[in-house]
Amino acid sequence: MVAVAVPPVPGGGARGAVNLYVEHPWLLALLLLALLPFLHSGSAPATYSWLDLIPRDGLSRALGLALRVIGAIAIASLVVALSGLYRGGQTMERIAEGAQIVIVLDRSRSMNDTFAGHTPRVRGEENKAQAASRLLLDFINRRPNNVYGMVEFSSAPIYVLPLTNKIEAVQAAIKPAAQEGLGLTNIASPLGMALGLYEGREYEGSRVILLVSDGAAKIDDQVGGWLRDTFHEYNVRLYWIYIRSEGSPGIVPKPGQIEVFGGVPEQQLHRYFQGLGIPYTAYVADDPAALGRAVADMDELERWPLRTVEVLPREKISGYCYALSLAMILLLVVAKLFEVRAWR
Amino acid sequence: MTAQGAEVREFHYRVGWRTRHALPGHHKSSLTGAGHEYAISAPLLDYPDPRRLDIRRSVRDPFGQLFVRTYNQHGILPVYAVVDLTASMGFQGTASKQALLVEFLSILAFSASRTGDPFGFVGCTGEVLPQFVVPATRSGAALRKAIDRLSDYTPAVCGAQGLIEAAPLLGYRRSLVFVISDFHFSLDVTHRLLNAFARHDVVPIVVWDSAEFRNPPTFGIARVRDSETGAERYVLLRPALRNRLCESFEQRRIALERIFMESGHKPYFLLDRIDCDALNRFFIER
Repeated sequence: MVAVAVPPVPGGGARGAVNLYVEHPWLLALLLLALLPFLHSGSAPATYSWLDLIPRDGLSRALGLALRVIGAIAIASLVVALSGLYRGGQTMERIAEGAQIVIVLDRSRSMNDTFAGHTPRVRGEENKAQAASRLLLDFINRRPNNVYGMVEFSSAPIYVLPLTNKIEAVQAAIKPAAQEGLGLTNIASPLGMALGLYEGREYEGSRVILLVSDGAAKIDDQVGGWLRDTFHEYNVRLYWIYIRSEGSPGIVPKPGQIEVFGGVPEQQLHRYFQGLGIPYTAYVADDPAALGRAVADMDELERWPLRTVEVLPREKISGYCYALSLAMILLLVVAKLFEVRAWR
Repeated sequence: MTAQGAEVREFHYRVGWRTRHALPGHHKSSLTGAGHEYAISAPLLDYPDPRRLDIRRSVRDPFGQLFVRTYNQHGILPVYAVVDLTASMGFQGTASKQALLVEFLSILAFSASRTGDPFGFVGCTGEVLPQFVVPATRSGAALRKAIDRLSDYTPAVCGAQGLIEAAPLLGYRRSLVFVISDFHFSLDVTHRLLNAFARHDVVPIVVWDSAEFRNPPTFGIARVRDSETGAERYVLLRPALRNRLCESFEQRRIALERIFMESGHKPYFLLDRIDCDALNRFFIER
């Protein structure tokens, strides 16, 4: 984020600078009790024969007033605390600079395997899910200024995180992706969901879908056409980090390789993406430089100031009121310790 | 009338004027009678008492008239105490003002009875309290009873008007009047009080307590309530305030002394305890 803490957006849920609410408004009627210290002081009076003989003393008068005010504050803040004061949820507009990136992460069962294509046998042997998680964390740490969303998928898409600039949330969403996945690979619907994250948002910077997967599935023509239209409509770039398993033919057919019957799904998908007519790049993850290239490519993307609206949760202020009340009461207790009960 | 078993406590009051009371007593009187204070030699025809024939005067008289010596008899002096029973006299500091008051009345009553003078007192608040009006009497029992009742009384009322209203109850004859009060009311009221008792010989007994000014609580926060008006004020007690309090009382003392001395009454400041020797000294110096 480059600039933060812009005043709340007018309208849009924000209610000006002070938006305090109470849970039990009827308790506020007890605020009248705060007048009590002015009507009657709880301390025992020391009787004196004639007040006129006690010299007028500014310090004493200030002290008397202070004690009453302190008592009133103690009661008032206690009442306010009891009534459950809170600051309502606020929307805060933040301005970030960067791209809107939706990570589409493969969580299918095949991600549990190592690059060599078998389940990890030796402790510490990294499977593909862990590799993907590590790669993505690395990527995010290098590019913290972007806005990220996240969709996971196996047989069906899993909605994980809407577009947000909270890097902690994104990291937290990616870390568990190192756990075991299950199910098959279904590419089309998560892409649709990822595109759906852009729905209704203004174009405020480059939009990127970062697909991380180890396999592919064929996209039928009907869905493929819809995806194509949507990619164009939302003007989204596509990056595909392909986690290649050993023995996989790769996304680009080697020269002279024989086309298997029905085609290699990765290659078909690659061809389909190429044919979308949008900016598209594929990276192969077993190449260590690939990630660096991906990051570098991101840097070249257009950077528009990105307005994001952050929703702040409501915040309980009762605690502070209790603390204030306690402090005031402690002051009164100290005063009580110094109280002269009888004049002798 | 004295404290049980304690030493006999009394003091000797005296006045600088002659009483006009007909009954013989202890104090100098301006009435002629059976006394030993020579007054004047008068013709025997006017005072037919040949026992006191003034031979020297008779011999010197060119007309040969016989003269007799006449003497002033000593008479009794009615003593009154006008007692302030307002709430401020309920102050308890080093001593209880009320206990002090009762003690003083006992001593005074005893002293009066020893001197042979009738003693009476009037208890006052904002008005004269009828149950505490005892006309001058030499009946010790009646006085004791009344003083006992006084010790059960709780001062609660405010005002000083009663002290002024008590004046007509003391009769027209000049008496010795102890006005026992803390004089915690305005100087104006004090002035009117002294005017009301102008006929009498007033001894203002100013009952103060050293806790009121000299030895207040050393340090602390006090919510002070005025015993009479009920007004309340916070006071942060500290040495600086104590000094100002002493100063305030000193000024008050000077002001009271001035207003008393203007009408020729020397006040006695009764502080914490009754010292009969000091009272004797006070009356000798008076």
